[in-house]
Order: sequence, then structure tokens, then C-alpha cells
Amino acid sequence: MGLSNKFKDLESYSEVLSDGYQLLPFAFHKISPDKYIATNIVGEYLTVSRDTLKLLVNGTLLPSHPIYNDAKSKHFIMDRDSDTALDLLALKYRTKQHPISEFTGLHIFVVSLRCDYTCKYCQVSRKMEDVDKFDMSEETARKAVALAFESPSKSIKIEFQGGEPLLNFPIIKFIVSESLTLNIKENRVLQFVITSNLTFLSEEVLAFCKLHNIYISTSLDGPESIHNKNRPRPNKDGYQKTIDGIRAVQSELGKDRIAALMTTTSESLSNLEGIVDEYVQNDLHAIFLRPLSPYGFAIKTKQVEKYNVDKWSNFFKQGLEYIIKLNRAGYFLREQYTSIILTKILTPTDPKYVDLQSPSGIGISAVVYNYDGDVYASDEARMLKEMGDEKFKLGNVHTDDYIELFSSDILLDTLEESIAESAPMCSDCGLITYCGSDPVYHYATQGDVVGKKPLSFYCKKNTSIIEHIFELLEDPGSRKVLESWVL
Amino acid sequence: MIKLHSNKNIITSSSDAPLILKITKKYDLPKILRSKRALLVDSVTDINAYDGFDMVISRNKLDSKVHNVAYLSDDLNYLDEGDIVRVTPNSSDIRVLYRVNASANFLFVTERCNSFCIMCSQPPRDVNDGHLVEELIEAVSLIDIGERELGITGGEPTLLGDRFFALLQAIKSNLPTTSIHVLTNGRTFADPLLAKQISEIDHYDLMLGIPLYSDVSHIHDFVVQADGAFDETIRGILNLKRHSQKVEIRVVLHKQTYDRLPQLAEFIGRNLQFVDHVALMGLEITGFTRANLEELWIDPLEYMDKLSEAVEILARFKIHTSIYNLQRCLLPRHLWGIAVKSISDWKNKYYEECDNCAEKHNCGGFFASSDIKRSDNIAAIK
Amino acid sequence: MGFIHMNDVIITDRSPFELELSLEVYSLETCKKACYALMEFVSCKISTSSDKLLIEVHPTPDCTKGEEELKALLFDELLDYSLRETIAEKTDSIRTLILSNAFSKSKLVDS
Ligand code: SF4
Ligand code: SF4
Repeated sequence: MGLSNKFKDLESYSEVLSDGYQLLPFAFHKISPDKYIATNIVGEYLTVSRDTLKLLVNGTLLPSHPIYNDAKSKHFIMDRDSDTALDLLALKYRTKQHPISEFTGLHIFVVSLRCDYTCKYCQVSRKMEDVDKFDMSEETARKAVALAFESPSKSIKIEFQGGEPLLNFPIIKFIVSESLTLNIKENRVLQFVITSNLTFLSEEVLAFCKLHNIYISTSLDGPESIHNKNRPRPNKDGYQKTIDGIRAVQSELGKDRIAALMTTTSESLSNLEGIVDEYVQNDLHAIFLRPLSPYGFAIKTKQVEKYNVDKWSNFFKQGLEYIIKLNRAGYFLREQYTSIILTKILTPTDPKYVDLQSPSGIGISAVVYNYDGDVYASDEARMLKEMGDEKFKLGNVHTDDYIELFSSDILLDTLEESIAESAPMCSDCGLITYCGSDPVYHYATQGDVVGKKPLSFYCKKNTSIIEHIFELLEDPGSRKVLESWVL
Repeated sequence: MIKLHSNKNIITSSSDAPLILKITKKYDLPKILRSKRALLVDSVTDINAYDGFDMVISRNKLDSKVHNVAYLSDDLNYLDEGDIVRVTPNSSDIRVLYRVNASANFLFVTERCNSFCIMCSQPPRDVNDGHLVEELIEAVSLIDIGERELGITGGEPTLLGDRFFALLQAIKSNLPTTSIHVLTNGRTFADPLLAKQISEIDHYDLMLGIPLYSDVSHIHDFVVQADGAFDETIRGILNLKRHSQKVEIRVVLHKQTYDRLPQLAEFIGRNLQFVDHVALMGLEITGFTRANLEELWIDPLEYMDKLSEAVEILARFKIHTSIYNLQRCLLPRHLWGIAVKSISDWKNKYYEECDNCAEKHNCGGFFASSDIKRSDNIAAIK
Repeated sequence: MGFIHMNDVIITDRSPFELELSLEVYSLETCKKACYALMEFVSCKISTSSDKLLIEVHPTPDCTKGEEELKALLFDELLDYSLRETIAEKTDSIRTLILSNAFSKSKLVDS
């Protein structure tokens, strides 16, 4: 049959394709000997066999090849029929670089180093006494707030941390009111978060959070036995206090006003389902499966070495599998790290999460004002300081102004040196658009901000998680769940 | 199904020039308001009472010696207060340009087009029809303020150049609260100056509906039968968005486009996420589609999985999406929410199967042209 | 030529071995990158002479892989890194063009 003779067929519009194509920039990563993921600079990907990859690179992929149109559509190649690829890639690249509000402008205020817990992996906390020594003063707080408002970002997120920040609740109130006053003129999108163990969640605190729409973040490591083992409180009632706190926030402020984080220790590894169940039981809909950070007491107490990369990624994969199963059974539960990476894989945007950014997000996406006024490039940077290394201290709110802090040599040099695009191995890595650079981590563990990626836990962890996500995306059932996690 | 055009009228006129007239039934309209009005009567009685009206339109025949009287063909019997018609006396022709009671009014501005789509419902002709837009500009000045939306269609409206912009300006000036929906292939907006020009109209609610049939250039160019069209359309969309214009992407679903629908959705999400709306549209069996039926027709049920997938992808990119022209019984329930009753009331119809259908009131039904071909899977919903 | 510092070469009981490659097939850069990627298992000393590349491969102390397996790994990396080199050669100028477009002052699109 064919079209009526007034019309030309598809072949005649495809003739020019046989002139060959221009390769567009992309990188690739080997998943298995015959399965490669090719990714372009804006995070679009193709799954190809090694042979197809070779054809593609060598310029011999024929228009009749099943992957040809996909490669063209996703801007891996550009044939003579169309040259919009260049404009569109530039546009997409700019979109990727553009921060979306969610994770930008994070200002962490360490309002007190004191804590009622004695967690074995805690990096920073101090004993309950010593109010004067380890609490932030109004003087310091005022200066820090002023600095936060000097940053250019449209949205400012102020997060109160500790120690246990609620031990210095008066200064939280002070900072909130200072910020609100400044914001009358500044008109930024202002958000507050209190990261707390919830022991001191009084009626007053709840009312205050309600009034100012303050979001609560807490730690829940799993069922009572694990939680209390990981996070000992002198009275052994940490778990119960946390659960009571979560319930109170949920009923007083709303279920969407609280999220919990978990930290994986060697105890967690064998208790996976119990940990996840704990979240479900408490009606929490987001979980962040986090490996133990290598800082502070965690390193000193040799906690980090107790589980290696393989153990951790197995734990992560099993956890994800169970979480996906729960989702498929109708309980929405988002794993946060996966959801950040997925957003990078499946959308034109980038959530700009501090640890998955290049250049690194330190000092840009996040900054820490310590109780004594010292300013650090990231939360990890101040933990490092508590171990006696001030490498990433940018200055102090009492002696330095905005320019001095944020154009300090240490910050700018670190950012530049650690750009993944120029780091050995990363520069050729097919996962680079989904990964990042974590200079503080690599400095802490390897002594240099760039890091030897083939030996880095960070690199191995991300490689195995991202590979695993690609595997899950190939299964329609899992894919559906994962798509619902996109930010 | 109603007809918008008839040349079976009997018209006597003192001039042969086409007249743009607004229908009224108010025979006692003050004389000062009677120009450009056609008085609609059941039968002509006292001709002198009609003094001042540009024309009298009668539903019944009478003495044909009186000038400026038209005897309305039965096809146009539905004409009503406020409708606007073009009367061409020497060809007994009355064309309805605007109907107060229509769910959507489209101003047809030209038959000319720079594409030649294989499924065009309005096959283009290379004719000199510049008078159409002038008549429409006149018609627009007669429409009552308050009309919700006017469509502009062709051919390719932007080929009119300055006259196209003059029409937009006329709508804006006369009908400041009326939204405008232009159906264009977007190619001319590859010229940044034109995109700028349309932004300078500074209309508060003007949407450009632009078709994109594939994520790869050669397939799109084949569907619209024009080399380079894909690139021009993409550049056109980018230019329009650069100038903050609203853009809708329109995809007609048929045998040549359904296969890469998910990839097209992904392409739109990745590259054109900033568009305001995506319309996924069932095929109308008219125009070139009849000639190419074999190469175009596919039972919608066969592409439903791809359509579903495309909709999910667009949703993931948070793009507002609608489905047009597809019968509810062919769509899986989760797509009902975005299925729009889109077939214009003067074109649509239902079949026997629909009689006992519980969803009939939510279903747009069929194009009249579906007599020629429609899905084998139409079945009343219980 | 270049000595690649990954781990300092540690003398172990695992015996080092050598690989000889043609510079026409693999560039020095490709070779360095392939060795770097495998630093978990091997330390390499690379030298060149006229059209030859010589890699002296020292397995790391806790490497459990045998010589054949290490060779296979190394060749896989060599092949991949030479493909990457081809991509870079074919796309470097276009990458620069795209990035400069992306960062040009002009408004790319209204969002
Ligand atoms: S850290 Fe590892 S996974 Fe991430 S970009 Fe670098 S090489 Fe790739
Ligand atoms: S049976 Fe008729 S009315 Fe009912 S959904 Fe199908 S086409 Fe629409």
C-alpha cells in the first residue's frame, strides 16, 4: 500500500543519515563484561553491549541499528538531519547546574555541644555540664544569622544541630526571631529544621515549632535493642523517649513535619528488616540508609573498620529490596539517598545534595556555624575539627566578614582541586553526573582532598549503589516504585 | 453534527461583495445599531420594518425580488442571536464564522501551509486567500465581550505575517478578556524576531499549540513532509519560551507516531520540560488521513500501553498532560482523569454501542468521520 | 618513563610480572589510567622505548588475584580507556562549544 503518491516515504527523509554522525561527549561505565552504561554530560543514559559501544564510538553505528534513534534522541550522536542537539545540550547543562531550592542555602547552627546521650559513634558531643563553655551565645548567633542572610541564595534553610540543640532552646528562639526580623526586608524562602534526639521536646518547644512551621529531624537507628545499643542514654530510655517524641510531633505538628535518620553500625547489619519495620511502625515515610561516617569517635573507636564496603552495600541493597517490597505492598517509604541519585538519573535537574555534587557543596550548599563562632565548610569539617584537625575551618563570625569566610583560600582551593571532572578516574567515569566529590571525606580518610578513588569507600559505595539502581530500573515493578521517589 | 457552511441559500443583494454580519433576532433594534447586523426572522412580512439592517435572513421562502434578503438553507437553521456569518451573495454562500453556543470557536485564517502532514485534516492549498483574515478581523470586532476563548487555525496562520499579528491585536483590543489558542507548526518562530513580535502583543493568555511527532528529526520531518521542520519547530518552541510565551505540544497518535511515544515523552521531559501543556490526540479520519488510511490507522487499543507509559513519563516530569479525541471505553481507568471531551460539538457523534454506556456523559464520542474507521473495541461501560 | 604512585611499591612475596604493549595500539596516557584504576590490586611501573610500552606489574600485598586474572583485568581496562580516549578526541571541541553556550550570558530559555 504505502502513502498516497503525493507523499514521500520515511526512507527518503532518512537518506541523509547514511552520511554518518558526529559523536557528542559522553562517558561510560562497565557494569559487567557485556553491559555498559553510557551517560552524557546532562545525565541521560543508554544501556549498551560492549560491541554496540564500540560501533557507537567508532562512528559505525548504522541508522538501522535498534539503538540509533535512542542515541540520537538522547544526544549521544548528531547526524546531518538535525543540529538542535547542541542548543538543547547547552540548555540542559545549564538546568542541571541550576540549584533547585530543596538543598540550597543550608546553614547549620551548632547551638550547643552538650548532649544527654553518650553515643559510641558520636563525633562531637560533650557532657551535660559546662553550659558556658559549649553553648552558643546571643552575640555569636546574631553575627551568624547576619552572615546567613549575606549568602545570595533565594532560599535559606537554618538547621539547628548539636550536641543536642534543645539544651539551648533560648538561643533557637533567638535565632528564629532574628531571622524572621531580617527576612521582612530580605524576603527569602526561609525554613527551619531542628535536628534533635527529642528528649527535651516540651510543650513549649512543640508550640514554638507549630507557630513557626519548624521541621523536626531525629535519629532512629532501629528497634529498641539496636537503638539503645547505638545511642546509649544514661537511663537506657533513649528509644522510648525518641518514639514518644516522634508521636508527639506527628500529632501536634503533622506527619509531614518529621523525618528520621538512621546510622548503620555493625549491629545494624544483621537486623535489617527490624530497622525498616521500626520506621513503618512509626508511620515514617522516608528513611536514609547511612553508613557510619569516618569521623570523630567513629574512627577512634574503630567502628568504621568493623564493616567494609561489600558488607555495607549488601546491607544497602537488601534494605532497598525490602523497602521496595513494602512500597509495592502499598506503604510509601522513600529511601533518601536513592531518591537523590534517581532524581539525577531520571530528570533534567540536580537536587544539589552536598555529598553528591561537583564541585563539592561544601561552603556553597552548606555551611556550619559552630557554638563558638567558628565557621566550617561542612558538618564533616567541624567533626574533623573535633578530632583536632582545623583544615576546613573558614574563620570565625567575630573576626571575619562574609567575603573573608567564603573566599578563603582553603575553601576555594579545595573546591577547585576536588572537581570530579578533573580528578583521576572520575574524569573518565561514566557515573560522574550522578556522583560527586567529597573532599572532606577524602582528606579525612586518605589525607588529600582529591583522593585515590580506586581505594575510596566513597567511590565504591557510590559505584555499587548507582549500578544497583540501574539494575533495579530494568525491572518494571521496581522501576515504578523508584519513579515515585523522584524529587 | 452541524454544518458550518452552506451554499444552498438564496440570496439577493445590492452588492456582490461578501458581508460580515452578526445575527440578531431583535427586529426593534434601534436603527443606529442595525449596521453589520443581519436580522433573523421566520418569514419576511413587512420589509419596511427591517430598514437599516444590512440583511434580513429568513428561514422561510418568500418573494425573491426584495434586495438584501437571504433565505436560509436548512443546514444552518440553528443560527442564533450573536452568531457571526459571512454572506457571499453571488455564490449563495453563508459561512458561519462564530457561534455563541459553540464549545470552541476556531477562526480559520488561511489554507496555505509550509508543511504537508500525512494526516492533515485540513489539506493545505496554495491559494491567495488573504481576504479571510481581513474578514475575521472584521468579525472579531462584532463578537460580544466575554467570550472565553478563540482558536486560530489554518493552514499555517503565521504565514500571514503581519496580518496574523494584526488579528491577534484585533482580538486583544476588542475582546480583552478572551484567551487565544493558536494552532501553528511553530516553524516560523525559528526566527527570533517573530517570537519577539508575538510577545510584544503582550496578551495575558495566549497559547501556541505546536505539533511534535517524534523525538528524532527524520521521523518528524517525514510525518510533516518537510525537511528541516523538526529543527525549526524545536527552535521555534525555544524562542517562544525565551519570550515567556505559553506553548502546548500536540501529538497526533497514529501508526507512524505511536511506536516512539514513550521516547518522545522522555524527550519532551528532558528538553522541553518548561512547556505548559502536552496534548496527546486520537486521529480524525478526514483530509489526508483518508488517502493514507492504511498507513495511519491503528486501533487505539494497540497503542494503549505506549500511551500509558508516555503519560506516566510526562507526569514524572510534572508536565500537564491531556488526552484528546479518544473514547473512554478504550482508555484504562487511570487515564480517564486526563481524558478531555475534546471533539467540537459540531463534529461529534455517538454510535449504538454508546446507548447504554454509563460514561457517555463524560465521553467526547466520535468525530463524524469515524463512520469510515473506528476502533473495533468500542463497548458500553457498565 | 612515569612511575605511577598509587601505593608505594611494596616488596612482597607475590612476584611482579611484565607486559609489553605497542605504543601504536595504546597511548601512554591510556596505559597510566588503566593502571591507576587497578591500584587496589597492583602497582605498576611504566616505561617506554621507541614504539613499545613496558609495564612492570607488582601485585599489592593483599591482592588475591593471580597473574592471569590481573592481566585480563588490565587488558579490559586498557581497551575501555582507549575507547574513552577516542571519544575525547572526537568530542573535545564540541564539548567546549556546548559548555560555552551553556554559560553564555544570553537567556537560553525562560523558565
Ligand atoms: S568517585 Fe568513583 S563513582 Fe564517583 S565519579 Fe569518581 S570514579 Fe566515578
Ligand atoms: S461506549 Fe461510546 S460513550 Fe461509552 S465510552 Fe465508548 S465511545 Fe464513549
